[in-house]
Amino acid sequence: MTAGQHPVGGAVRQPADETPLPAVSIRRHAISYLLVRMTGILLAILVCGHFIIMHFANDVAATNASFIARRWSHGLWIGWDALMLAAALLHGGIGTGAVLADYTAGRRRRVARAGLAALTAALFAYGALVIVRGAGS
Amino acid sequence: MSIAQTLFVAALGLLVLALIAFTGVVVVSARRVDGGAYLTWGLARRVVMSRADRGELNRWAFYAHRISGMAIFAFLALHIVDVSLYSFSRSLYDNVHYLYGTIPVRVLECGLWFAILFHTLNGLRLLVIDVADMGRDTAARVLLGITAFTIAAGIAGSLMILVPGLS
Repeated sequence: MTAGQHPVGGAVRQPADETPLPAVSIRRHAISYLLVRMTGILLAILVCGHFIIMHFANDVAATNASFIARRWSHGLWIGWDALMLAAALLHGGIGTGAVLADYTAGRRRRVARAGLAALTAALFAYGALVIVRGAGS
Repeated sequence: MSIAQTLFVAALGLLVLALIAFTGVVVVSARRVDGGAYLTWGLARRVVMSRADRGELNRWAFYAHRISGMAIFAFLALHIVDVSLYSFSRSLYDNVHYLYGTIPVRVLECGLWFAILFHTLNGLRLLVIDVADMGRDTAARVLLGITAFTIAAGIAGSLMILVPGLS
């Protein structure tokens, strides 16, 4: 659920005496709303598929380094993992941003959001590097 | 245990503690913002009695969605780091990955499977609520359905995770 939405459902109503949200803020919320849902549909397939392959089709004890080496010799699984990495970090980053906005305010919110953005970007860069190196070897 | 294994176990322990603390934050905020915790014995009676009151379940779905989402995101961060060991040394990766096959971590994997199931199904439910303009009663019925499915598929998956011979 994106920021600006009430848990019970539906957008938070603006009281008449309050100034309405600026257009930039509305657009930003609309973009994150769409991104969360589009990546969500992707992840429903990618993450559930990943978990089923790693825990039910195989036993987790058998998914060792040689399993990864075999897996990353196929373009399909390189693409799967890269897409899953990007979609999961985008989805989780936006979701956690909405959570932070609910429990922090002012300067603390800005600092927390900047930290979250830096962490998410660093994890994406690091993970992408691992996939590129693993696929190349 | 090797240093890498110790670090992994420490990170996993911190992650679980952080998640428990986060659940506390959500509950405290729920009491303050949403007018108290209604998870009492009376809840069962209210669910049975009135269709309109079932809308309250959406609030509990919201909390469960938030907590399961944070659990999955926290594990994702750790998982990216432990898979990255493959890039440094295959034996180092195997050394840490061995822990995934131990019973305590398998139990956490069962929890992760429940979290993934609920978060996926409830997320798709939220999507359909908006797209199909699903009414309150239907939304509550679908929520009960996905909760039942989460419990059933969660238990079945947990058995397969805990008893490797089954899969």
